[in-house]
Amino acid sequence: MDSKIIKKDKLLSLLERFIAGYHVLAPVREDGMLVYRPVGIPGDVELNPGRSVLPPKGRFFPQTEILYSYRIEGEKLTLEEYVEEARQVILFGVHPCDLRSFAVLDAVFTEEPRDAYFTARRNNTIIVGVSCSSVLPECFCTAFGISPVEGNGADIHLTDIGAGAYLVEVLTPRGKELLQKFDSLFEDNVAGAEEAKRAKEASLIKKISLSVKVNDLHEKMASIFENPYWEKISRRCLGCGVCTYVCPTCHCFDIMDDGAGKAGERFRCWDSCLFREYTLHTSGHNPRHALAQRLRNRFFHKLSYNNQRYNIEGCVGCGRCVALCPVNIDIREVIGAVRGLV
Amino acid sequence: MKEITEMLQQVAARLFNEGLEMFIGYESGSVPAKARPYFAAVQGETAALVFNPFCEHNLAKYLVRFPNAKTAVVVKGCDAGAVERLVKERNLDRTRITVIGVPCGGMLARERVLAELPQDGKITAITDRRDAFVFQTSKGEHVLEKKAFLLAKCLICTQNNPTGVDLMLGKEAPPVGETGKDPYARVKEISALDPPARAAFWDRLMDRCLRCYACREVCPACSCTECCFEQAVPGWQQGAIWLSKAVTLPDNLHYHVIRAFHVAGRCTGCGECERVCPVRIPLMLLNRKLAGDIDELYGPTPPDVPSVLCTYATGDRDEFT
Repeated sequence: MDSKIIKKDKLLSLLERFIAGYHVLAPVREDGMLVYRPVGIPGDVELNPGRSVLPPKGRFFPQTEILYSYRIEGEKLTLEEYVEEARQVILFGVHPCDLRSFAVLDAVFTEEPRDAYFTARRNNTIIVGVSCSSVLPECFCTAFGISPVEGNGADIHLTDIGAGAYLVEVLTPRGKELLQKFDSLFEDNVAGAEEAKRAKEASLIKKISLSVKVNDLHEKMASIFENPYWEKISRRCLGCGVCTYVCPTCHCFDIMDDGAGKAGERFRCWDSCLFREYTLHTSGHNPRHALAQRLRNRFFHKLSYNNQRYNIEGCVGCGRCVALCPVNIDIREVIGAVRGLV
Repeated sequence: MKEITEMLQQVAARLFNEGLEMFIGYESGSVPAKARPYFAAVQGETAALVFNPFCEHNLAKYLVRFPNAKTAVVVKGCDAGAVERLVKERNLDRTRITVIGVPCGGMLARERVLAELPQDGKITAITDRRDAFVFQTSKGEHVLEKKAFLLAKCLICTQNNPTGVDLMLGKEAPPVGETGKDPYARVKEISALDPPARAAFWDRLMDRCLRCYACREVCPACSCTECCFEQAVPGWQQGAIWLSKAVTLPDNLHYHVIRAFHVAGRCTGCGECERVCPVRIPLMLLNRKLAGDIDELYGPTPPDVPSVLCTYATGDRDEFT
């Protein structure tokens, strides 16, 4: 589709108009961390954000989501479902790794039978991607064929091409429709913009320090299921849920009820395969009773099962689990070890 | 830090000759300026052991995972109390553990260090020069003043030389904490807020808790084999479930306050809960608040008592009768 240029001051005006007409979620700084929050002031938004602590998946798959509530009055039972009503949300400032994660989540939630809750939120959201401007020591998106400057999965994609200008790529009809309303803010695509983007890509890719190869991983994973490696790496694992909760593609949830008697609600919330009770059976038996089994499951899900089941990699190389694991369990090292073991 | 690292490797090698089965220490991490827990199970694995100002983890709780093995563990001043506590509460058999103390010159805040060092410089050596750590990198020498680069908990530390250890490596370290700093200063500030402001302070922080339970899993005082918050009972069957699995502000507050009370009088102040929190909730404020209250109510804990709230005397205060 077409591309344009927008100057930084005009980008702020565009954000202002977004805020006036839509519910806008964007990366902001909070206590030194980058988090996605509803924003009311364009100046609060980080235009070249970097890695947020939590991925933006919460927009489509909130940590806790009420599915329906029930109420009994006399003989009457009332059920109320909470599928999000049509509303226009703009999710602004999503990096390429997280854009890819939406495709991973789509594969899970929108295959038949579709998940109504996820699908409603997904359909209500216009996504504005943004190219990376820096590479952090834990980044390795290129291993999964992702470019830090490509907007696949976004409706509109921004790339800071220097000198206060952004390249705006309109990637979907929905993106086109949105920007048409604000046509006066853009300039025609100037010569050299595409070259500037390519130059940026080359310099970013050069900075990704660790080269991780995943091409032959699936066959290799299958042959090391029983390897003592998993027990060894699990010795330092705490068994907390940090890696799963900061992961843009982790999508396990539990369904629970709150309330009793005459009224209550059913909700779903994130769950983690690292938790002891995750696979605990009613009988008391736990097929993954050891931490080594639980940690192994997480890596198999990321590096093997997801691909087998949905034909898309379960990891996007965002590096969040590497950066936030309290004991430095590094999925890149695991990949290296797996490839070295067979 | 080269000498202390060599000493550790030598001691570990010697202990394996004497029948040791597991040595719990540190190795270098996968990214610059990082260390991580390391487990040597045989003689041949001791060469990876290191000690440097990124060895911030408290390794004491890992001992519980090896109930029948002869183990050795490396402790800093702020970690030693946790081993002692686990022994006092009969979670560990002290006779099969060799506690190895290292003098600590303070631990560095990784983010600040990385911002200071040249991006593509590889760290080749670190030396402790009392008031500063000197980094040799492939791009030259960098002096990092401790005052500006240590973790906040190290700046109020009064116990950087471990006690109660079986083996102390190297020379005693000079104090790292600044003298005259009130460890309760921030607690007092928060306590002085009027109730709505105090509630707002905590609500904002607790609202972003993910309930990943990293604080619980890392805490050496959280030594229960099954936590009261992980009872897998579906909602409609709940007789007495303590916490909804829903992540909401009231549930988050409930979790943290109950946890703080469960570890009150038993928390040894290692600060691991705060270190591992992915969303930077200052959890030590809660623990410190309770430690201060306990001190005020009961005075210092006598050494032969497991912890103030785990014992009683007939003459104790009793406001309920």
